Amino acid sequence: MHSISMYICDMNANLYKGSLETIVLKLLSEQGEMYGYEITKMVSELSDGEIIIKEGSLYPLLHRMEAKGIINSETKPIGNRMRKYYHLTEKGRKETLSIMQEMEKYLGIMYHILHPKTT
Amino acid sequence: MNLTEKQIQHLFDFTRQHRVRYRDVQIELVDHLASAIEEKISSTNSISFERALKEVYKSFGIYGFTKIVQKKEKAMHMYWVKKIWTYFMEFFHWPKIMGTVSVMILLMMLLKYQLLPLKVLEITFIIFAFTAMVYMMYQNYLKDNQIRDFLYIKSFYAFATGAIFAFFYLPIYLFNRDFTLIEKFQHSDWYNILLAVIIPSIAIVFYLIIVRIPNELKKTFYQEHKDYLTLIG
Repeated sequence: MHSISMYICDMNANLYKGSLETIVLKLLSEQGEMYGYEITKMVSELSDGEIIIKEGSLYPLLHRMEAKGIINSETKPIGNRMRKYYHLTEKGRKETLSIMQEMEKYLGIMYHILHPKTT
Repeated sequence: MNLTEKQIQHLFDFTRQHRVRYRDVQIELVDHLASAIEEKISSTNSISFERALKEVYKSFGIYGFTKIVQKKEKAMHMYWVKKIWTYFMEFFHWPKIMGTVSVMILLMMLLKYQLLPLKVLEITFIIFAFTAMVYMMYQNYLKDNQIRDFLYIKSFYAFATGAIFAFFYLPIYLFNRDFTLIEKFQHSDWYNILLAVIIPSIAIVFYLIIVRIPNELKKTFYQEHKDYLTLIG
């Protein structure tokens, strides 16, 4: 279990716990390949600054996902340095689909609990 | 704005000074630092490179790079365990399972009808395992300097050496007649079946560790990092 180090207001920090992998999988499924810094920037932009992923969380997660075989990496030369890009594997694509379905279901259930129909 | 080569080199020195000894981990962290610094310098008029580096490094938290490196080491161990297991299971799926089962049946028959003395099998196994151990230690410690500091390579040879050490001691329990459990059923078919399954399985693992994965590493790793290896000379 990774310790939360997404820099979020304490009040809603627990809401985002455990969603980091889902966020990364979703971004990689849409963008094709991304590098670490690009992932942190995109998450911050898409969440209007609400979610800022710390490097101490992101890189261990990426390395763990790579060890699990759901993402792969490739190092390419960029100007005067090398850059490591991550992309989904076939196994990762299937897992992303499954996780997105679970997340939709979860959000649906939570919505109904938080907005019960009054008769 | 893009950082100069001197500044990039400074970042490599920075990661080394902050206990990142693996080159592949340095490559990733240097790129992250460089990207963040370039953005900071572009968006803030008067900030210097050193000041920008200080601020970017702060975002790595109080542990800096240490936890990232530790967790990467752990992840790499898991990576190799999974990889070996995946490749191992190929030998128990069609079509390789035909060959695997044939070898096991052949070995079982040789043992059952005493066409292969147990002592010969034991000595052959020990010699082979010892040779494999020495070879792996050579690969681990005397390999090409350029790639030895890559965690991807180093973690494989550390894992492989450990695995060979572990399997090396297995025959002591399998073949040792003083080991009570074996003594009770060493003349039974169950013992022959046990040997016929375990010995080829260990041979498969040795093949993966000594031949297949190192060959793959030569192809994929060198190919992917040829630009970097050319860069560092």
